[in-house]
Amino acid sequence: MCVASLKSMTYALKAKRALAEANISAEIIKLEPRMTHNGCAYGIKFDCINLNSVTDALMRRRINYTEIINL
Amino acid sequence: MIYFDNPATTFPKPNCLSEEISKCIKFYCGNPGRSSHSLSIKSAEKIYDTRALLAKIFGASSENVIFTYNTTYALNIAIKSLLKPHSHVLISDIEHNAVLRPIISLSRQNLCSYSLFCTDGACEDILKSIEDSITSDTNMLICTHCSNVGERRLPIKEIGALCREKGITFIVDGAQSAGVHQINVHDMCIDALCIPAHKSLYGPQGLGMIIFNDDIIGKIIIEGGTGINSLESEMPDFLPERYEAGTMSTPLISGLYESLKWLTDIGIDNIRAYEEELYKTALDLLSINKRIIVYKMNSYPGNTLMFNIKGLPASIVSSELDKRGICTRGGFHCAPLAHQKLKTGPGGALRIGFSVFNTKKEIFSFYEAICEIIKEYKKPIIN
Repeated sequence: MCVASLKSMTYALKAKRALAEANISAEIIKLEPRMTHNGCAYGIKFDCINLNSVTDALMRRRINYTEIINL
Repeated sequence: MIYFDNPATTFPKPNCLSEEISKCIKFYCGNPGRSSHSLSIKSAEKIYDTRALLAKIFGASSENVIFTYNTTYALNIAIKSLLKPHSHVLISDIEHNAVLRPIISLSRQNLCSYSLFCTDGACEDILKSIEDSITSDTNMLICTHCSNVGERRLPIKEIGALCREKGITFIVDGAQSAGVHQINVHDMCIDALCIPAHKSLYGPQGLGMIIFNDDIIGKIIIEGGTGINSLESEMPDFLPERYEAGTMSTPLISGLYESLKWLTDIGIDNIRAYEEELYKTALDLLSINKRIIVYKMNSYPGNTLMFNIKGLPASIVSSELDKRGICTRGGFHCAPLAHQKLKTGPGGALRIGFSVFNTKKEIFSFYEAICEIIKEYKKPIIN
């Protein structure tokens, strides 16, 4: 599974809604401490097979992710 | 009971509001944006959906919708975070204390100077008054969209265009207009729109919003936990979390979502047309009575009427109406500038305003009660 880390819960929800519109299933997760640089952060978890579709969908909606983490 | 104190708070509310608040408290009220368990996520989703719906109604991006306690908090945050030190601020001559008091306070601290622009006349007269008041230091203009003491509506689209042309930050107090008039922050060049949930959006008290047009990074007013970047000592530099320290009220925000859906199903334009019809009925009745003074700033209809019975303080009339089961408000309505302009006198004035739940039959009953009070108080109490 892959995780796109996002600035906040608001952006994680925005991203989840954008992916749902693109028929991509995703789940919101709180990132583990080792994955974050500044403390609490959120991300959306999705099947890595959808990586390109996910980044395209996020870009189309101008939702910036901090990084993609391969779990 | 007849309720005409809608400019202060609309009542009653649609059933969906209380049902959702109750449902939230009973079934899903986790702490939004703080954890990843199902109730926390559900709460955060409800808040996000409300942001997104508000963003759609007012022409903004969902992350630019900031929740506050009420419009006064929203205005204070917008004004104090966007004000550049030692600048000149323009406000209208009918502003509510929610704008007037922060600006006077800031000017007394020498953080800004301010002037009033005149709201008399047509759109071009107002724009001329603004242009004449602009100085080389002017970088903020704040005005109400609709006055809370009458039907006065300011041409915010034209004012917004002028502010954009001059590089002036434009803040709008939409306390009386949100839910009754169409407002689009993008099309109207509004930098920050401040609105309440509890008036014409038919939401709960204790909830207000700032809707920013853009990702504005102003000064921080309230600091604290946001659920993100917890190891950093400073607030986030992005919206909405920059302005939302502490736990948001999931029950109130979830309730507002249901009210907004109910409101948009009826349609803002339909609500305005209905309320204007009620206003015309009330105005026609009150205008024919020689003991009544109706205070008007415009010829066009609104949904709020101010009047006095000659010789009677507004507080007595309001109290007499209350005895007859009619809720109104007498006094000064937190808007001293507008009262000076209308010359309402030492007792202020009585205000009635309508919601979608009022009827013409209620207006006729109200007028009968007014006629009874006039008969009862034949002798004037005040000049």
